[in-house]
Amino acid sequence: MEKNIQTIQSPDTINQEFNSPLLKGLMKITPKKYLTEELPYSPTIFIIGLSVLILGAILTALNGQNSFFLFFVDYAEEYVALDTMMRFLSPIFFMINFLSLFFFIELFCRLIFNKKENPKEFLIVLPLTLIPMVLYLGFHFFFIVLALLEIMTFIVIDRIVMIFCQVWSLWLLTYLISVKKELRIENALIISLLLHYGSFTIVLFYLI
Amino acid sequence: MSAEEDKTFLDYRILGLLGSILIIVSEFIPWLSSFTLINIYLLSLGADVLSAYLYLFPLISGVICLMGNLIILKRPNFKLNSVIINIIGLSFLLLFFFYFIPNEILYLTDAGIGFYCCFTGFILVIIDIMTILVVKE
Repeated sequence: MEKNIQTIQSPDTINQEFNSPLLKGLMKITPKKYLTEELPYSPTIFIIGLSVLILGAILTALNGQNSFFLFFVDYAEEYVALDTMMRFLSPIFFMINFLSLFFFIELFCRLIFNKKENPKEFLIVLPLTLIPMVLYLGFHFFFIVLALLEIMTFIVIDRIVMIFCQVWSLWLLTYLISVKKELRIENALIISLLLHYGSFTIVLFYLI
Repeated sequence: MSAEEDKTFLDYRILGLLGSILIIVSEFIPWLSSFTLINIYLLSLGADVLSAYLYLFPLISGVICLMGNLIILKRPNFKLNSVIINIIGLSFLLLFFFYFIPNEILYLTDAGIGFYCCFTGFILVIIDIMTILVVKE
């Protein structure tokens, strides 16, 4: 009993906290049905996951962006040949980025919390956490097509949508880590935040 | 929870509070030469109203983080709520850094005290978030 005191105490605290409007709202936009599904997976998960990856890869190329975990950086190449090459490479970067995301989360889970559970299941469901970012890429592409990003108003709107989608994606990632790696949600948040702020630092240095 | 543990946890929360106050204060002290962000915001209002709003992002971020930190001061059980609100707040700051640092600060020596103040606040809030998540009770 003494050893399990945290497990015994936590449900009350968690329930109380999950009744708050913010977490209630976040839970409403969490596809729990798919994220908590166990093996054998229904074909729907594979189809959605693959569609998210393919769509994300195509949209990064169309938008002229490179992905770095949950960040997207514009590359403005003045030379046509270089631009064409980058547009060809950015879908590949998107896929590499997805695999790195999986690799680093696995690494952190193993190193920090010694959790080796369900790597295959985690990899299959991981693309679903990128749905908000793919939605943002679609939104950004829509603005580019309509040439709205030359107007500052739309740049600000675009950035605010990006913040919303990033937080949403980060929450889905945290939830998935918590479910598949059998970690407390607080510990899952530590891993997602380490990745998020780590990648922010790298992207910032790249931009400078 | 013993009184000593309670005191330690309270200290962590004050760290986040201090961080968000630093972010808010940085809006009103010089970032570039003698210009504060509020000065730049007011100057930009004449040129483009909405681009000017970008200079208010640190203030918005500081206020959101302050709200997140006040929540955990008032209700220590609401750790996740506080962390998520802090993340939303910091996202505004990240966005501002992405825009401001590559465009306006070519060398770190160009940056004024406001930049360092804001960056310190940013680091303090991140430390606070991590501590909230790591501390059990």
